Amino acid sequence: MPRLLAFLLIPLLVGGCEATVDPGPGPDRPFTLYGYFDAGSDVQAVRVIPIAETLVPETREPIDARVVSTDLGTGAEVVWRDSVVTFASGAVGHVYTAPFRARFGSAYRLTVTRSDGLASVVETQMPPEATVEEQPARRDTTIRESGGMPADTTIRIDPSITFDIRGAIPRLLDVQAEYRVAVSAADEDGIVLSIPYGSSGDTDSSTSGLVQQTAEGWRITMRLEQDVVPLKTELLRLGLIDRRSEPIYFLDARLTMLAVGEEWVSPTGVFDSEALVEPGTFSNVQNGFGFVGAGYPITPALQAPDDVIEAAGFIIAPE
Amino acid sequence: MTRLLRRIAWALPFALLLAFAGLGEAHAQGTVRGFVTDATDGLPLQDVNVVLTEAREDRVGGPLKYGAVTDRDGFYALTQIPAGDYTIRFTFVGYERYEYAVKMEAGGLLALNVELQPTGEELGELVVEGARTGAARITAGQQSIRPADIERIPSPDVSGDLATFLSTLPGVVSTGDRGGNLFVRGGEPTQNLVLLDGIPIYQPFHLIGFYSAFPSDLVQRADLYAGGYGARFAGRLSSVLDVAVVNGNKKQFRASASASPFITGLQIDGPVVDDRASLVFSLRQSVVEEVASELVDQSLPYNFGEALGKVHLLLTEEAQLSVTALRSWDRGRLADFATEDAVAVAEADEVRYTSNAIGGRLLLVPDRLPLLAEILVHYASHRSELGSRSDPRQTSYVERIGGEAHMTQYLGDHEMTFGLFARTVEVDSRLAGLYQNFDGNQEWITEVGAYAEPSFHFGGLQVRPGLLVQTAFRGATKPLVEPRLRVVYERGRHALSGAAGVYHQQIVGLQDRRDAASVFTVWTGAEEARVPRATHVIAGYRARLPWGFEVAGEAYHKWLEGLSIGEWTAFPRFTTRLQPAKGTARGLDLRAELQRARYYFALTYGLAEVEYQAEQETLALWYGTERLRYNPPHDRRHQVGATAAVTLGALDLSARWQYGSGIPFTRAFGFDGFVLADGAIDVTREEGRRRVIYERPYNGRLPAYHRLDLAAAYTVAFSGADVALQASILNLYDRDNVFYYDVFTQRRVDQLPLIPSLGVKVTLR
Repeated sequence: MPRLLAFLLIPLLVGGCEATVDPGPGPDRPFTLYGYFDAGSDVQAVRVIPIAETLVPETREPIDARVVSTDLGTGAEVVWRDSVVTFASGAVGHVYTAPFRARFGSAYRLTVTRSDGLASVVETQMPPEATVEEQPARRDTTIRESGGMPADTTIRIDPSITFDIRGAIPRLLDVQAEYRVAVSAADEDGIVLSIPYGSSGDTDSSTSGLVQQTAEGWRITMRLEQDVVPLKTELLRLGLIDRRSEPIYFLDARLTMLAVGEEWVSPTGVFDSEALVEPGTFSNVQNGFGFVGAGYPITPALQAPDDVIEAAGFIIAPE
Repeated sequence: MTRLLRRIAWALPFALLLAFAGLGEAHAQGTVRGFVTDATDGLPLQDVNVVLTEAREDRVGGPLKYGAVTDRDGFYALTQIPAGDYTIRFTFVGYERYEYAVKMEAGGLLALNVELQPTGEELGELVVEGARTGAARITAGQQSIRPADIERIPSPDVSGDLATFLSTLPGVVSTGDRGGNLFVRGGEPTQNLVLLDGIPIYQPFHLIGFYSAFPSDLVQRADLYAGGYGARFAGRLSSVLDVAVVNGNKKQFRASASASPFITGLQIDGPVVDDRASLVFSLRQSVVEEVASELVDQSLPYNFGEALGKVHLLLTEEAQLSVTALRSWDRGRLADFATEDAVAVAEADEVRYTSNAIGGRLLLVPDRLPLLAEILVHYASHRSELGSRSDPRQTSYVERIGGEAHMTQYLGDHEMTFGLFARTVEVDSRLAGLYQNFDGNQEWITEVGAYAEPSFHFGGLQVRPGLLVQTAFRGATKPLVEPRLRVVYERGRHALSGAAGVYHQQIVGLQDRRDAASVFTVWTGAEEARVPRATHVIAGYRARLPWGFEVAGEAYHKWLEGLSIGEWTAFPRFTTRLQPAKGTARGLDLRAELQRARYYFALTYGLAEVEYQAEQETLALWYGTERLRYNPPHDRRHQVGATAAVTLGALDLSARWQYGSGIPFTRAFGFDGFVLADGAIDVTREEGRRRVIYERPYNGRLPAYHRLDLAAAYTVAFSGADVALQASILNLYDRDNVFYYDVFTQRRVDQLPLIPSLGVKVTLR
């Protein structure tokens, strides 16, 4: 019985004297990093966020960080420079930049080191360069005969254009069809509207299947006819047209996407901030948090002839 | 098959009822019944022993004897009595014995209302067992509380408050001196059913933890069912607090006024029509913001109070009517007291809630039936607001109107209780994204139900099975079947008890428990496919030992399903999505008590574990498991309470020490930012959002809570007036108990520091 009492009372007394809150071990990792090595840009940029003990906004004060990138293919090192950017809300952040163009197919290491030696490190692989080829629209010709002789010829155009992206590109992110359209023949500038096509491996049912993997790389189908519907919806929302039956004028169009490495994939199949915000859920930074990838934009312009554009429901704007 | 089961479920209570009615008719013999009251004030006397003894002494085996004990209305009934001459005797401690010769006729019904005269003598050392309440007097989760129990607990006011007493009970976890939330055996505050003379009160507890809408002066008796409650109670998952307001004095007028650094009060009590109708009214208003804050040199931004009144009317010898009304108000700021100078911040964090309630209760004893009928109607509303007074960012409103009828048929040693209810609830909320996947809504929900609950007595064994069937009309009407059972076996000094039951809650209260400092509650109808459900099991033992000692132990287990809790997110915001969860609460309460006429000591210990299993979709991604088990922030594992009281003439001394082990909170490892890397992010333009880095929810524990309170009260009687003075010290050794810890700023808000207090109460007779 005395032992039982002691068993009950000792933890009570010992625990009962303590009045301070143990807030936890504190941050054991120094930095959170966001950005990507861009083979399409002459300046590289990465956001560096020091992991703080309390919830305080970032300040303009220099942060205790030294940022160095290494081209793992050549061994070339570059020291990055801090710059303070002011966002639209007025908040500030530290973006480190370096004036070089990332090389296709090369691997990079980014090391962000605090003065006490604690470092966050990330390695990423730039995909190789891709080539893009636009396939001509499919045309089905129907010949009607009369008395055994050809009497009438009908050509049906399928206003879907496929683009073949050739190269060992692991993933394509944020594929969009970007249209510049106008609501009157006089409007030469038009308005740019984008239709999301998703990403490779997308599990979103509305976009899955638009980006397909092939033996040579990727194939993207630009659905001109179907895209007219969301374009008109957006023009209606913007108040630029009053009815769906109103014509829209085609100025030009292109696909935009980011060719990225293997690691740039959401574990849920979609990029949902509520799911991915949990630290470590979508991160490739060692001894830190965040995500630093490698990639480059691919933006092939639509070259399809006018009859294909018209077959989709657009009107070709006069020259 | 499902339809057949539904029909059976609906029919069962009525079948039970008819079966019992038939049984009663078959054995109908003489009945004597009535009400017992105090001759000096007309108040009902509960637990009076009523014994009917046959006058003839030549019966083999001795004269026939029948016994009963009066209920909270002072009602008794002795049934199935053969014709003959009898003596009926009423005995109650502190009152003169009353004896009366009665002649029972076959099938006769004798109504006998009795007034007992107080003896005016001091009680002996031992308290009569039948009337005893106290810390150790718990039976199958039920504990009765009388004003004397409340007055033993030190409080800053001359008069006590039911809230102070409740926080001394093992298994009841409070948020402390601030917050006004009580968790009963693992249940959430919104899962507690609080009744005031049968009227539901949505938030009866004030923002300062010492106070509720129930000042001890106005409490005739309160019954706390910490679980396993009977079929009479429907609609809540966790517990029932059934409070009866005292009837007014029907003989003489009395008024009192009291003041303390926390609260001031005014009370009147007296006859409206001599011997027929009475009125009792109490008004309290806090002064903590103005006075107590000066004492502790700390901002205490609380304003609260309540007005409570009751009219009681004896319509006839067999019918009583009472009307009870309450208005309770609270305004305060719990989150952060360090920003007192920032008026805007203060307003943004301010919570306000108001409860209104009015109800009538008709107690009727039909002329020709051995039946007690209770008919209740009520209206109750509750408004809760968060944010500035002119433009609150979140509001929630609930309004309820309803009626219910309960009948008790007395059949010799057995009883049959049955009843039905109907109520309509309106819920209306505007949440401004507080719960991201639950928009504010306006909804009307009508609930109806019926129950039957016989009570069988076989010697020392009492078995009370019950069955409640209820449904809510909102789209599909699915009957919810709730079996209940209470069993008590008493033999000599020992009592074994048990209870079990199934409970549903159609109208649920949502509180964001991630925010310990929030009492803002949203009431809404439960999802039809996921009505919260609880299953309770309780087993207990109690023993009366010599010299006024009593010990009790009770184990309980509650299974909870269909809960809605806030989702976790690393975004540091006080809005959340709701996720489904289920849980368990289990524990053991141990109580020891010494109760003598002049001194009292109680020691209690509660061991508890509350565990929730969250079912958030992203859990598998985050933690590699589809269900995450965690202990919610009211999981207080150990609770120890010690209460001592001594009466020395006109001087009452009391002390209370309480200990509670630390409750869970979420420890943050640090803070960074989050940018959604879903494509070609431009880090010079994409600001991202701040983020909290934590490992798992509620992975830390706050320090233990403990406090010692002392009080001394002295009453001086003058001609026509009593003056009571009370000096008290709360938190005598000035323990820094944590009320709230802000993980974002690592700032803590403590419970009240050492507070000396002096109160006075003047009662005019």
